[in-house]
Order: sequence, then structure tokens, then C-alpha cells
Amino acid sequence: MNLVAVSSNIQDNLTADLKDTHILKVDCSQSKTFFEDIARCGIAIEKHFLSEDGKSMFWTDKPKYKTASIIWDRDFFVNFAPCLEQWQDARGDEIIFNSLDVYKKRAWAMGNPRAVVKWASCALNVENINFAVFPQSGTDPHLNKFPTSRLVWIAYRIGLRVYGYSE
Amino acid sequence: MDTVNKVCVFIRGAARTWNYTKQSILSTLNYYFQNPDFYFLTVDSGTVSDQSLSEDFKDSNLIHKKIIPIDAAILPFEGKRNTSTKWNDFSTNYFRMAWYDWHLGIVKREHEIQTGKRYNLIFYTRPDCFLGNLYQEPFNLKYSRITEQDIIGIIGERRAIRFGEVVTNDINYIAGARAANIFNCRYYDTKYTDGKSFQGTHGDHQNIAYYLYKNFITARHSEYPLPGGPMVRPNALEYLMTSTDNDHIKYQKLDTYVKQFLDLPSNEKIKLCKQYNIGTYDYQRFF
Repeated sequence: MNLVAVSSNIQDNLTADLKDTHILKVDCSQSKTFFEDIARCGIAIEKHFLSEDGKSMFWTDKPKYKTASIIWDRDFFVNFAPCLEQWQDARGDEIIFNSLDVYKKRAWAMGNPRAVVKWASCALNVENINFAVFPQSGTDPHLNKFPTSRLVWIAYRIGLRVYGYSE
Repeated sequence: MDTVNKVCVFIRGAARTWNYTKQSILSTLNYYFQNPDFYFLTVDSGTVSDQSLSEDFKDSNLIHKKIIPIDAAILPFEGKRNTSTKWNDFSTNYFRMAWYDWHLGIVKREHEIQTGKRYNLIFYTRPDCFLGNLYQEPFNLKYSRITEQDIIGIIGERRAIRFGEVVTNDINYIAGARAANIFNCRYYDTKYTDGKSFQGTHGDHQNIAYYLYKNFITARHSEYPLPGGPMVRPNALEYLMTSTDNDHIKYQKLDTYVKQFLDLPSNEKIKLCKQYNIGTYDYQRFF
């Protein structure tokens, strides 16, 4: 079973065809940035894991959900379904983005629920990046084009195993 | 002032001697961090109530308070309790605090989203500490490297515990924004604990150090003064309430009561709890 948190800012029914998936439509209408969308979706996943029986499903050998995903951008929404199918065995520290290419936008992230919520908890911290500690995108206008690169950077920075699905 | 909104304090754990330490904790932290936001979480042992907490924090910026039922305070997963130096199952001392921090971490992030506020620094402490006001001037975010929005570190007070190069702490921590968010997630990271036995000589403390290094969070000794004081056990309350010693002396003397309390027979411990209106559940693990 997969758990997919979708920002309410995406109007399209992108996830209609996903099999064996529980969809969480997260109210992001008040969000000012997509970083906030991700943070809200991460919290929604954590709360959903908690709400089943008052205890957290993170602590079990046989979790109900094998993967968790966050979708915040309808653009570049490709390959999500096959990725979900292929990464059913994502380990506790593995997270997968639609692409690691700095010239492409990140639109979704999926992986082991532990990895996804840990990464999402840091989303607000890369909202206003300190370029002194993120020199890769400091001066290069091309690299700086997509602030979603920060999302990949922070995933590496907190020790997750990071993969890109489509290159 | 700009810094006011950028520091928050997590006070979490069994309330224990909170009713006797709260004045030192709140006055010191309000002065040192210039009226930070407070998040409080404890267990419904009868030591504090919703009303008493509202009264305690009436002059402080209390953002969130929560008293969880005892049933929920029991670990949210299956596991038998072991000593803190050896565990064949799960280290409850470590994961209990992790469970509390996880709860408060979610509330903190929700508050940041709703208000647009972004904390630069989070200070962690417990309700049963004595925090003496030993500081000449308030904490200045400008001279702290952890004000940068990077994972600079989670730092113990000066009484930090060292394992060679690894530094951790038992009671008080301070963390940069990102480090705090990751630290708050440690409860569901069981890499170093799943069914493993005898992780290290210092059990729970070493567990935190492992976690920090695994997540590339710098852990080091504090470079500047941080609030951090000894635990106050019920047998120290008479001294605390009657002493005219200055805070430096209190720090040293209160430490001596900690070991004495552990050596008391259970009926003496319970008697002390009842004498000072402390819920016995708070010290149940010592009985």
C-alpha cells in the first residue's frame, strides 16, 4: 500500500489511476511557497501515520504503507506511477525525486515513509537559502533557475540516499 | 526585537519537580533568550494540570501545552524496558524523549507555517532542572554559528558528555533550525537500535550521538554559556527552598542529591513525592 500526499494547489486529478494507493489531499490554499506545500504534506503524512490507532505506524516491522510520496507540482509530473511500482522496497533512508537534473524542476518525491517525512520536515529551512552554505546555486543563473535543487541538496545533506527516476 | 521570534524552547518530560523549578527555568530562559516561545509537553501524572500550567506561563509566550494521558506516555510501540546501559530490545529512556520531541516538532512546524515565523534556534530542556541565572547579558544570536540556516549543530551545555570526539548530553540541548527538525525525527529512526544489544557504555546518551552523526549533525561542546543545570530530585527540595546559597553553589550541591535519591528505598521515594505533591508516576521507573 502506498500513501500519497497531494497539495491542494494541484487541481488536476493526477493520482486517479494509481493502484493500491491511499491519497491524502492536503489543504495548501494558504501556502505562500511550494516549500510550505511540502511541509504541510509532510505533517499530514506524519499525522496520518499517527491517527490509525493513536500510535505511530513508523514503529513496526510490517508497516501498512511501504512508501510515502509528496506531490506539489503538476509540471514535470511524469513517471510517478512506474516509479511507485518499482520502489516498493525503498529502505528507511531512500528518497527518489522525479529528476536530479539541475535543469529540471522537481515535482514530486517518494520513498520510504521515514525518509520522506524527515526530508519534508526540513523543507521550510531551504525556503530562504543561505548561499554561503549552498554555493552551487549562488552565481550560476542556470543552476539558480530551479530552487527545487535545494530540495535535493538538503536530502543529501541530512544523510538520505537520494535517487532520481528520470534523467 | 528581531531575535525574540527566532528562539523557541521545548520543555518536555515528566513534570516531577516542575512546581519548584519553574521559577528558575522561566525567569532564566525569558531573560537569556529574551522572551522565547515555549512549547510544553508532559504526562498526566497529577503533578500539573492544564490550569496550573496556564498560570505558570501567564507571563511567558506559551505557544503550546499538552498533557498526554499516561497510556499514551507508555511507548507507542512494543518493547520491554531495559536498563539504559544494555538493551536487547528498545531503549525506552531514549525513545520516550524522542516521542515527546516528535510531538512538539510537529506543533512547532505547524506554528511556523501558520504564522510565517521561522525559528533560528531551539533550546531543549526538562521540567525538573534548576536553571540558575548565571549570565551577565542575554544570549546574542549574532555570536552563535548555529543561527545560520544550516545544520550547524546540536550542542550540549558545558556539562556535555563526551565519548572521545563524540559529544552529547543528557538534559539540555540547543540546536539550529534544521538540526532541530532532524533531531525531532529521531524517534522513528531505529537504525542503531532495532534489536541490537549493548550499543555502548553510556546507553541512551550514546544513542543520541550515533543519531546526530548519522544525520551529519555536528555535535560539539558549547562555545558559549548555555542555560543548563542539575536535575532537582524530591529529596533536594527542602534545600532548594530554604537555601540562601548563590546559584553557583546550588549547582554543585543539587548534583549531590541526585545520586542520594536513587539510593533511597522505594517507600522513601514515594513518601517524598506525596510530601511535595508530585505524581508518583513521574518517578515510577525508580521504584
